[in-house]
Amino acid sequence: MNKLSNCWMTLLLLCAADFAIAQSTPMQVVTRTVEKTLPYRSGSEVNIEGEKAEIVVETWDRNEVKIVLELVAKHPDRAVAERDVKSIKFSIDQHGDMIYFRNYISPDEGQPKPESTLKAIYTVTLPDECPLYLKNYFGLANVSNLSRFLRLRTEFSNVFLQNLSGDIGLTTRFGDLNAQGLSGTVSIDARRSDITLHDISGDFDIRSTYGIIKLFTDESLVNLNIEAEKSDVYFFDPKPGIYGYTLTAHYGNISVPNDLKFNFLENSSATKRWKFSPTKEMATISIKISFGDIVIRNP
Amino acid sequence: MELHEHNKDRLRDALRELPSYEPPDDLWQPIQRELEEGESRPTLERAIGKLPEYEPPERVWISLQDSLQGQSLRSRKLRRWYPAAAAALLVGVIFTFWKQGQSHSDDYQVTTSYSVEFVDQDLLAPDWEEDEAAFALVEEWCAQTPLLCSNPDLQLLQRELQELTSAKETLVAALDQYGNDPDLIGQLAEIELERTSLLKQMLERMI
Repeated sequence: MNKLSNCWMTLLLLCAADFAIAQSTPMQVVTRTVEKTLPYRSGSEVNIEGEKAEIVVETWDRNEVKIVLELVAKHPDRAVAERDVKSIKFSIDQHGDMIYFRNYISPDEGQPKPESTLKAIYTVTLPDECPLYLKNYFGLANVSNLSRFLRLRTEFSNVFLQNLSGDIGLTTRFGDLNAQGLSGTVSIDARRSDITLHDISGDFDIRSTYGIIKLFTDESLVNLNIEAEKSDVYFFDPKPGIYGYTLTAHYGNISVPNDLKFNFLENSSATKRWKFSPTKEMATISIKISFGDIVIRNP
Repeated sequence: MELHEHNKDRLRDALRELPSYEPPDDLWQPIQRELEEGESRPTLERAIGKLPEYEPPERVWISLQDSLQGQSLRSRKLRRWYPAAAAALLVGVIFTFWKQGQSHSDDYQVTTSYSVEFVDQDLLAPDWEEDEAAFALVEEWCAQTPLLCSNPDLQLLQRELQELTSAKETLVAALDQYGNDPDLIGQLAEIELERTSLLKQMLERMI
């Protein structure tokens, strides 16, 4: 009986899979992969400018910068995909200490506009101390383990950061920012982007418009300055009482743990200005918002 | 350097008569690649970094100065050639930089691979313009009856809607350029949800 039911189940699954494939269109995927390794000298910096690109940046212990760039075109007709993949142009250049990686879409002369779905995938590996300038439009950026300098500017791209330290500047528009383990001097300028930061320490300066900001700390040494408009700010820490707070909300609400005795410097429906100074201040949190809420909570 | 050789004239003649050979052209490229990118580069750089530095003795500077002063008369005649020489030098420098960029750009490893994916075309169907009439209607009402939309709250919502509409147009243009990509369609869906929510809020305030 058991064997019979197993057979039926297998048949049923095969039919379901067959039905699913029958509903789908096969897409021919043509991938051109470009690889290059460049010498790295102390003082070198890497610039990446991606368009419709997924950019992954990792680190290693070698004095080299390696790029693996995949240029992908998808179309039901393989000949069209093969033609269109050539419209993704790229450049890999080194001039002195400057290393440039770039891609853009431009059909060859006399060729029609691409009909395929196009994208570029960068995997860049470099020394952790190498300064990185990264720009991307339409895609994603995933950067980990840099220790010195990062400037990142993205639009319509989600950003994932892990274990970064040093001087970090992030500008993002229409794309969410998720980070784990940021430390150093961090500046974030976000518009229409949700920001979620875990395990942070150092000096943070965050400006946000139309976004939800969620910060998770764990008794961290963090000096935080947030100015946000039409945004909600959530600050989670297991011991929220160890920080000093200056919270200002114009046309918004403030919610804090009951055991923290705040001074209400101003508390009208239009403006709330609350302050809290702990007996032993570990760090300061300054949040100023308009048209949004501030929530301080023990998670 | 002075040669301390008794028959130095003979030696010079003998050296001059030695045959000379040019190495083949393809010998230089692997050497250059090895120097620029090879495994020995870090060792080479470390070794260069460790080289001692020496100050030249005073007499070298004096001799240089004397020889330059001797040439000052001739150099005046040469001065009018300076712009041409500078231009030639500049062209040379630019060419060298261009060649450097070229040489680094020329030796990629490029491979092409093929695979097949199954995509549900119904999900990628471009249906994002179907409700634009409703958005256009609200704009038309505001244009026809400005008093209706004079409320500051409503104006704020209208500005927000304009920003989102502009973002939508950017994404639609991206879909046209890069193809019907599921990630772009996902972003467009989020923006459409926000636009719809704004439209509802505007209608509530107008009615």
